[in-house]
Amino acid sequence: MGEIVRDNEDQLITRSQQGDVNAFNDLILLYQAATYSVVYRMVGEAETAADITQDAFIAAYRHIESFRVGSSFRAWLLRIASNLACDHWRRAQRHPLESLDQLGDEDELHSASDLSALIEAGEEHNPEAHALNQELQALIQQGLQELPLDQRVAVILCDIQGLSYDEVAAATQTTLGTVRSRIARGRKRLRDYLSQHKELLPRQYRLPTNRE
Amino acid sequence: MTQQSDKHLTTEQLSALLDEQLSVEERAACATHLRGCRQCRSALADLRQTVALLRALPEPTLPRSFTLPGNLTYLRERSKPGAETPGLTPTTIAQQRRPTPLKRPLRILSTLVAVIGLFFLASSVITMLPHSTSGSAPSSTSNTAAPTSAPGHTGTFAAQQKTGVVEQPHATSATPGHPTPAASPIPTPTPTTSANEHSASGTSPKSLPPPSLPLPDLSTPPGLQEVGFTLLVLGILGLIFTRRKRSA
Repeated sequence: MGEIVRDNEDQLITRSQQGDVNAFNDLILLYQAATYSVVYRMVGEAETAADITQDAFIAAYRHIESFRVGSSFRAWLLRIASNLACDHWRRAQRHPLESLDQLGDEDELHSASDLSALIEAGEEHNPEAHALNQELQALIQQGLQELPLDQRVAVILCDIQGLSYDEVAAATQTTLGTVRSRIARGRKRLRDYLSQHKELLPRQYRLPTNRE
Repeated sequence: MTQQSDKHLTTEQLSALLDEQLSVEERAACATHLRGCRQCRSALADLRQTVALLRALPEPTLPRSFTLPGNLTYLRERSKPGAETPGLTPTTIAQQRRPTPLKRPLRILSTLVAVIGLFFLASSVITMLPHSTSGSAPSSTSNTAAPTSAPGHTGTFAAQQKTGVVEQPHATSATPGHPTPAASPIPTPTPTTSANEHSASGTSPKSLPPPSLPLPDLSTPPGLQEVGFTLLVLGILGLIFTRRKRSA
């Protein structure tokens, strides 16, 4: 099953390399959800994430000839996308005024009383549900954005996108050891962030101890 | 293995354990330690919970489809086979949007030039002060407070104009390198406040302007002032120029 998909993907890549836009569009359809998701988790803003994702696909199409068939296309694509997202993040950090208007509605979600109320309401309606409500998602998103870029990319690719350590290493052009360390530090930092907001987490996600 | 069990496990070990990225030996050592260490067990549980939260995040809904229009063939770059472009791709694109990387050094340079200019101006004012009070003026001590503030501002520009006025005939008539003849034809300055006003209008020079060269002489106050003023103007222009470009 996976082999068939892989063969099909290789064919699409080869055709794309020969200039077939339709073949490349099929690849986009295969990977746009993952690509957008990575970029969105990196920058935390839907409109910006959409622009960056579009840029990433254009850049990937422009340079598809340099892709070596047989290596991970997903890692290659996510490398382009996450690099663009990092570039955007650094620019926004340097010129905070330009991105002020992008913060707006997301900051409003962080009123603590609203958060607890909503989490409790969610638990009452479906206590077994593991789906996270909007506010909790926003809290985790905020925690991700507190991470340094290298750790953020590694954690997003590994824990959200489910890439293997090898693929993360390929996507970030680093060694396995570095990937291992970045993922560990990113998780730890996120854990610390979430434990500072422990009371806001639904019961099944509460971190049992605070070792500080 | 025994040493491993008395030391607490690192976050990296715990994190790798979760992802089954440890070797068999490391794994066994961690398991031994975890059996006897409540603190590491709870740290592992914390990390596991964090990962569970991340995995539970839903995929964001796509705002649109990102497929490309069919007429995008012009975008293709005929890159050489084997060229390592993807890593570079994002930076090249980003650089097109980013302001030129030269701007920052230019701003720093402009600030430096302006500061050096100010330094020259200030040092020329300082060197002029004792010169005008001791050498050419029967100045009273009670008067010193007022005139010091005046030459500080007007004297700077006056000297500037004055050197310009005096320099021109010298540049055309006299050969460079004769500071003494330049000093002789100028009448001795009158050091009153009215003289200051006169010199401000550029009619009567207040102190001796030795610069007879097109290049200002740095050993004299007017030369210092000229250099300082030019540097200051250059620096300010540089700053204005880079700022305007940045905001655009």
